[in-house]
Amino acid sequence: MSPRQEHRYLAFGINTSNALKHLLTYFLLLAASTAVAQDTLVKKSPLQGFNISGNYRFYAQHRYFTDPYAIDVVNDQPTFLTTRSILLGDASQLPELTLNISGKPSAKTSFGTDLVVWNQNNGNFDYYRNLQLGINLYGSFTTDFGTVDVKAGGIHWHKMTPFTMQAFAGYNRFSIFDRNPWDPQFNEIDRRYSEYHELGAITQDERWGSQAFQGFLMNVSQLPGNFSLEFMYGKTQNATAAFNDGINGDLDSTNNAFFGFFQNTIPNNVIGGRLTKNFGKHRVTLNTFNRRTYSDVLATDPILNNVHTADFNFDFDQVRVSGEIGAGRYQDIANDPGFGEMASLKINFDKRLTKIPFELHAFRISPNAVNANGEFVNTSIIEATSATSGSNTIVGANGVLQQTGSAMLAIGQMANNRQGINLNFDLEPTEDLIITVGNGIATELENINNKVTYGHAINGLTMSRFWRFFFPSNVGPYGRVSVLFRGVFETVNLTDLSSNGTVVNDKYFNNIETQIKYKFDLFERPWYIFYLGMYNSIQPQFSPITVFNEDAYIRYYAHQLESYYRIHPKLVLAQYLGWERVIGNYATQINIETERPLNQEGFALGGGFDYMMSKNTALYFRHRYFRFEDTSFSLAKFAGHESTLELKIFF
Amino acid sequence: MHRKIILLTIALLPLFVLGQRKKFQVNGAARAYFFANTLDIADDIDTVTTRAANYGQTLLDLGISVFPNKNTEVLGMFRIRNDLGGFWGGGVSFNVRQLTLKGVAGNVVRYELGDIDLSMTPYTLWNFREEGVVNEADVFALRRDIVYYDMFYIDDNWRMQGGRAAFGLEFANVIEGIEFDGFLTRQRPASGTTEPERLYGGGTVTLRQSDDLSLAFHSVNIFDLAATIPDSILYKNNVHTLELNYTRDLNENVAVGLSAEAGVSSARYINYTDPRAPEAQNEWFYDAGITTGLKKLGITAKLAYKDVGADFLSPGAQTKRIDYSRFPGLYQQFTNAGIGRPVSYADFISGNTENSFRISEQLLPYFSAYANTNPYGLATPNRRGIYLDAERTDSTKFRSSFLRVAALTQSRGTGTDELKNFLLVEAGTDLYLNDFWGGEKDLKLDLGLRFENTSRGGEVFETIDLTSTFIDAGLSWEFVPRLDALAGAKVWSVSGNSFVNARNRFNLIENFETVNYDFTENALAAGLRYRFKGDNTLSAQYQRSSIAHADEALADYAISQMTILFSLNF
Repeated sequence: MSPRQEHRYLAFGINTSNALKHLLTYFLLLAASTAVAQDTLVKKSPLQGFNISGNYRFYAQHRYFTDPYAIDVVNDQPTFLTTRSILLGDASQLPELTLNISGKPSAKTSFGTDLVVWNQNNGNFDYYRNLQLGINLYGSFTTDFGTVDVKAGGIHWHKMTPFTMQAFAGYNRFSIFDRNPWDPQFNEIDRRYSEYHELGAITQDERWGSQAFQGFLMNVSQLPGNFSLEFMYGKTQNATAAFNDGINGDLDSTNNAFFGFFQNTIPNNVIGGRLTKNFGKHRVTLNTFNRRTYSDVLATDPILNNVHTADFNFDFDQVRVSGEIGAGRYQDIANDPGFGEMASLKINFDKRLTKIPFELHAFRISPNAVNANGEFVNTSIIEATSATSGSNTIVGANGVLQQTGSAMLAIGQMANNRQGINLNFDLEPTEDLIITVGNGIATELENINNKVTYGHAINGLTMSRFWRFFFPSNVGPYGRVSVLFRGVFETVNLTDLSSNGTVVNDKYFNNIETQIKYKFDLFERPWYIFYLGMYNSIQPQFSPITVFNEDAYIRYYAHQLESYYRIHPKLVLAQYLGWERVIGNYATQINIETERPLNQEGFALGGGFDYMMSKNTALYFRHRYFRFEDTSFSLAKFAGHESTLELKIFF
Repeated sequence: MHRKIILLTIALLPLFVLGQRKKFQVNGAARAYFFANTLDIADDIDTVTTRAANYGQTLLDLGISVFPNKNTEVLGMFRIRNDLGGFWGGGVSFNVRQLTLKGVAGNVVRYELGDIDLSMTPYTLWNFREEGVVNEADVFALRRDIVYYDMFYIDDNWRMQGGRAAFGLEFANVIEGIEFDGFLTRQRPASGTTEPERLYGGGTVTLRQSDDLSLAFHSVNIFDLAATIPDSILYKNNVHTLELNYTRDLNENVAVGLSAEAGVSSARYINYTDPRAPEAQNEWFYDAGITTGLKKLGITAKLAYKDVGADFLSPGAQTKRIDYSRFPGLYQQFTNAGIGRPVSYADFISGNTENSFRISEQLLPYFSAYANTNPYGLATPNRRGIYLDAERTDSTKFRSSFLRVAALTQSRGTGTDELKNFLLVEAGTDLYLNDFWGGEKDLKLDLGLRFENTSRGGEVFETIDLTSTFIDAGLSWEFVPRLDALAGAKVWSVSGNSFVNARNRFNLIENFETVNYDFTENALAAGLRYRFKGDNTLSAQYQRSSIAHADEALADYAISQMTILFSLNF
C-alpha cells in the first residue's frame, strides 16, 4: 500500500479557522485532545474454515541385549551393538507432535498441511521440524460436461490399478501386537482389536494400497455416457528428486527461485491417467502409467517405464470378476527388451453360491514389465540409476527399487517374471470364530536370478531398528540383510548353477497362510485371540502345496499367537508369542566354517497393555523378549528385551 | 533460525483458531506450481547443457494478524514450502515472509514497523515496471503475478524494513488539510570494514487545498551512518521535489489541469579513497504538463515536457527490477563455450531472473535492445523532451485503451557531442469481441504495440540507428463459465546498433560498448484457466520462448515450458 493510498486511513482529527501562520502549533495541540476513532484494522475477508487438529505422541524405547547383534564385520572382527540403548522418538521418524492445518479460501477450494516436530530429548533441544505429508491444495468445479476435482501438491495418497500405481494391500494377515505410529485411536479401547477381528481376508480395507504421490491430480467425473477421466502428473517416492538442503536452506523471504533446493532439475516424473466407463455395477477402465527420467546429466538418455492396461470389474450377484490385462516395458540405454505381457484375474465367489466364500486369483507378469510404482515386485531387471539422484543418496533420491532376487512373497503379492495361482478362503463357523486360509503357487517364467530372498515375520521390526534412521541394503555380519521401513529381508545365494554360473533350475514358490481369529467373553469382558501361521517354500520342482522337506531351497515357517483382553472398560491386556524357522538346503550358500546352510530360529514373547487415560488420551506399553539364532552362521544371532512406551493424544 | 520460525508458528497456531472470531485472523496464499522445461539448441553448438528440467513447488503463506486492540495489528506471515519431489520432509523450508506491526497512536498517528511497502513519486521512490509488458495477455500475466507476489512488487511499492508514521491536520478554511508521512528504513547493516550502516528515510508533506489542488514536498535520503565501520566511508543521496497537482472542471464533461514535479538530487561520496569517486553529483529535473479529462468519452490524457539532468540520481526511483548483468537461474550457461545466457524478458515470467528486492545506489545495467528511452523509468537521467499519456475506458468493446508517446533527447552527449534521440510509442487495447454480438461470456483480445527508435547523427563512428518493435497480444475466451482458453504472443524484433554506457560503481560513464542487434525474440503461450471464486485460479499452459539472431555466430535457442499453476489467495 502506497503512502498515497494510505492517506485515506489517516486521522484528520483537528479543526480550526485561524490563519495559516498559526496553524501548525495550534493544531498540534488540538490533535492530542480531538483524536478521531479509527476503523478497525481487521481485513474484510479473512480465511474461513481454518482448522487445526493433530496428535501428540510420546514414544520411548528401551532395548537390552542379553546377546548383542554383530551389526558388522571388519577384518574378521565383529562389531556388536551396545548392550543397552534408549530411544526417545520413533526410529521410523514419525513425529512427536503433528499439527494438521487446513483452510478453505472459497467454497470449492481448500488447502491442508501438517507440521511435525519431534525431539530425542538428548539435551540439545534440537527439535526436528518439518512437514509430514507436505502441502495439499484442493479444488473442484462443475461444468455442463462433468465435475472436475483437482489435487495439487502432496503427498496425496493415490492408487490406480495393481499394474500401474498401487501398493500391495495384502489379506489382513499380520500381527497387531506392535503398534504403528499411524494407528488410529478410539475411545473404545479395544476397538482396534474388534475391528481386526471382524475384517475378513478377502474384503480388504480400501484405505490401504495407495501410493504416495506429489504433483497434480485431476479427476473428471459425470462425463456423458457414464465416462470418467483421471489424469496425474508428478512424482512418486520411486520417481523423486534430490535436494541440497531443505530444512536448513538459506533462502530469504524474497527468494523466488522456483527451483529452490533442487540439487539438479533433471526430470524424473510419472504421468498417467485412466478412462473409465461404467455399466451399472460393472466397470471397464483403460489405464496408462509412465515414468520418465534420464541416466545422463544432459537428459538425453531416457529411462522409461511404461505400463498400458485395461482393468475391469464385473459385479454379478454371486460372483465378482475383476482383473487387469496389459503390457509393460522397461527401457534404458543398455536394456530394451520390449513390452511384456501382464495379466491378473480375480474371481470372488459369494457364500450364497459356494457356502464357503473364496477368491481365485491367477496372474502372469513378463520379466520385461517393470514398474516400481505398481504393486508387483521387480525380480528381473536391474534398473539404471537416474541422474536425478546426483550426489545425494538420501532416501528416494535414487528413484528406483532395485530387483530383490527371487523373492518369497506373501500370498497375493505379485512379482514380474512370475505366474501363479492363489486361493483364499474365508470361513466363519460362528460369528466369533473366523478362519481364513490361503494357498499360493507360483513359478518363474525365466531363470534369471541366482538369489532368493525372504523376510522375517518374527522380530522383523525389532531387527529393522538395529539400523535406526537408515535403510541400508546387504548389511549385517554376512551382508545379506536389507532394511525396509519397518522390517528386514535376507538374501541367499543359490549354488545349483551351471559351470558358467547361469541358473539352470526352475524355481517354484508355495505359500500357505492360515489365520484364526476368535473372540469370547470372560467375566463379560471381550477377549480376542488371533493366530497367524505362514508356511512357505521355494524349490526347483512344482508342488501344489508348500514343500516341507529338503527339496526346498528355503523353507520358512512362522507362527504368531496373540491375545487381547479388555479387562476393564479402559484397559486392555496384550500378550504375544511368536516363533519362526528358516531352513535352507545344500543348494544354497553354506557357511564355510560349519559347512551347513541356513538354519534359523526366531522367538518372541511379549506382553503389554493399552490404557485409556482420558478422552482421546491413551497409554500403550509393550515388552518383548526376542531371540534369533542361525546355528549354521554363528554371528547371525541376537537376544534381548525391548520395551516401548507410547502416550498418544488426539485433538 | 528455522527452528524458531516453526516453533513460533506452532506455538501461535492454537490462538489463531480463536482468532477467527475477532482478535485474530488468517490471510495469505497457497500455490502449487510445476514446471517441465526443454531446451532446444543445436547439437553442433551445444553438447554440454542439460536439455530438460523439471521442478516445482507447493507452498503456503500463512499470514496471521493479531489485533491486541482495534487500532493495532501484528502481522506475521510464515512461508512453508515443499519442493516437488521432496517426500517425507525433503525439500522443505520454513521462512518468515513478513512481520509487521501496524497501528494508530492516540487515534492520530498511523504507524507501521517492520516489513513495510513504500512508494512516493516516479522521481523519488517508485518501483517501475520491468521490460516486456505493454498490454499483456492473461496467459502471461497470471504467471507474472506470481513473481510480483514473491518479490513484493505490489503496484509501484518497494518492500523495505523500517518504520513509518503518518498523520494529518484538517482545516476548515483556506486549505482542507496537511498530511505528513515519513519513514525511516534500514537498507543494510554495517559489514566488515567497507560497508557502513545504511539507512533510507524521507517523507512527504502535502498541502491539500481541495480535491482539485494540492502541493506536496517530497524528500528521500540515503545516508550511511558514520562510525559504524572504521575509517568510515559515507554515501549520501538526497532527492527533494515539489509536486503540484491542479484540476479544474470546465464543464460537467471536460476537466483540465496541471501536473508538475520538480526537484534536485545530490549524491556525495565521503572519505572514499577510490580516485574515481566524485565529491558530489548535484542535478535537477522538472516534469510539467497539462492534463485533461473527457468524461463522456472516458478519456484522460497528460501532455508534458520533462528534463531530467544527466547526473540526476534517485536510487529509490531508478532501481530496475531485473538485473541484466546477472545470468538467469535456469540454463545459466550454455553452448560448448560455456557462455552465460543473456537474460530474456521471458525469463522474468518464468521466475528465472535475478530480481531486485532493495534499491540500488548504482544504476543497474539495462538491455538497450529492450529499452533506451526510459530504461530507469520516468526518472531516467539525461532525458528531455515531450511525452503524452492518454487512456480511454469504456463499458463495452474497447473497454480499456491507452496511447503513450515520448519524443526525447539527451541533454548531454555520451561519448560524443552528438545527442541521442528517442522516439517511443506504446499503444494497447482490451477488445471484448463478445460485446459486438452481446455474448455473456467474455472473448477478450489483448493488443499491445511498442515501437522504439533510438538514433544519433554525426560521423559514421558515432551514429546510432536502433529500432525495436514489440508486439504484445493475446486472447482470453471464456468458453465454459469460469473456464478460459488462453493464448498469448510476444514478438520482439530488434535491429540496429547501440552504444551501451559502461558505468563504474559511482555511476560515472567510463566506457561504451558498441553493440549490433538483429534478432527476433518470441514468447508464445497457450493454456487453460479456471477461475474459482475470489482470486483463486487453476491453470495449465505451454510456453515457448525463442530467440533467433541474424548473426550466425550468436546462439539461437528456444525454451519450452509446460506449467501447471494452482493459486489460492485468502
